[in-house]
Amino acid sequence: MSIRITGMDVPHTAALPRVDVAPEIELGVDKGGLPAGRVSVRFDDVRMRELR
Amino acid sequence: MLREAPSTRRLSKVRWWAALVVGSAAVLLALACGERLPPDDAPPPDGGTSSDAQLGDGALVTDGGFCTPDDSTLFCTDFERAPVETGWTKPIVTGDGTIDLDDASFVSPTNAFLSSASTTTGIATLFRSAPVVPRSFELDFDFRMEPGSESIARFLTLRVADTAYVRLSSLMSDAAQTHGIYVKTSVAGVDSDSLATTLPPLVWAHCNITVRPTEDGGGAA
Repeated sequence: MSIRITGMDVPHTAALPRVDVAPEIELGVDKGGLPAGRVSVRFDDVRMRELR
Repeated sequence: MLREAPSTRRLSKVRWWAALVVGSAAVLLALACGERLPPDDAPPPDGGTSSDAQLGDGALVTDGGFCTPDDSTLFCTDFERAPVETGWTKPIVTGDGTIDLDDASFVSPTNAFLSSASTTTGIATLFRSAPVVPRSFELDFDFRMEPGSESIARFLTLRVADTAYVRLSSLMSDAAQTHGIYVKTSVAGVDSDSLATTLPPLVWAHCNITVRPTEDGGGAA
């Protein structure tokens, strides 16, 4: 398996084992344990699609 | 914060993508042509009524026409329906984290998901588990850094296997509030972390994460 991320200056790929769980997405600001300081992010149009 | 006209948003997005140096020309061209933005006056795909429940379990959550019914879709939302967590498995909000729908800027009209936190315990996320275990899948979404962001935070975690996940983080890198966007992959405890791009505030960016077997053309690290 592999993962490929596009839409960035540096496309990122990584070898992965097979998908063996239902994919889980957690979207939004997560400061958990990181230094304090405001971060605000806006999101729109999220789509997860099976590839056949 | 000023609402951006759809034409302005599209133009700024085209400029942004045109400025990128991306290894995949096909992807760059598709985005530069505005593929991710529906026509400004396009009607909802079902003539104006909500189109969720096509796949059950809230797979499609739309009132704005982004989520066209499609049997390959595992989950889709354009954040047009209140409350903001509609269609998601659960919201996760701790510390001073806040989540909300907001119409100050969006990609598909007329709302977006606004997430903010400041304290070290602040979490403001939406969680969703896909309904099936697909052999291959892709995740697409649009995001932008908001003014006033001054620190570091994770903003996406995608678990793709029992021991593998992808994580995106932002780190403000200068006084102009340019943000470094970092990609981390963790596979069986082996982590890889790299700067993927830099992004000024108020610029919408698009991200596609594709997970597929290497023999299907996914390539290797």
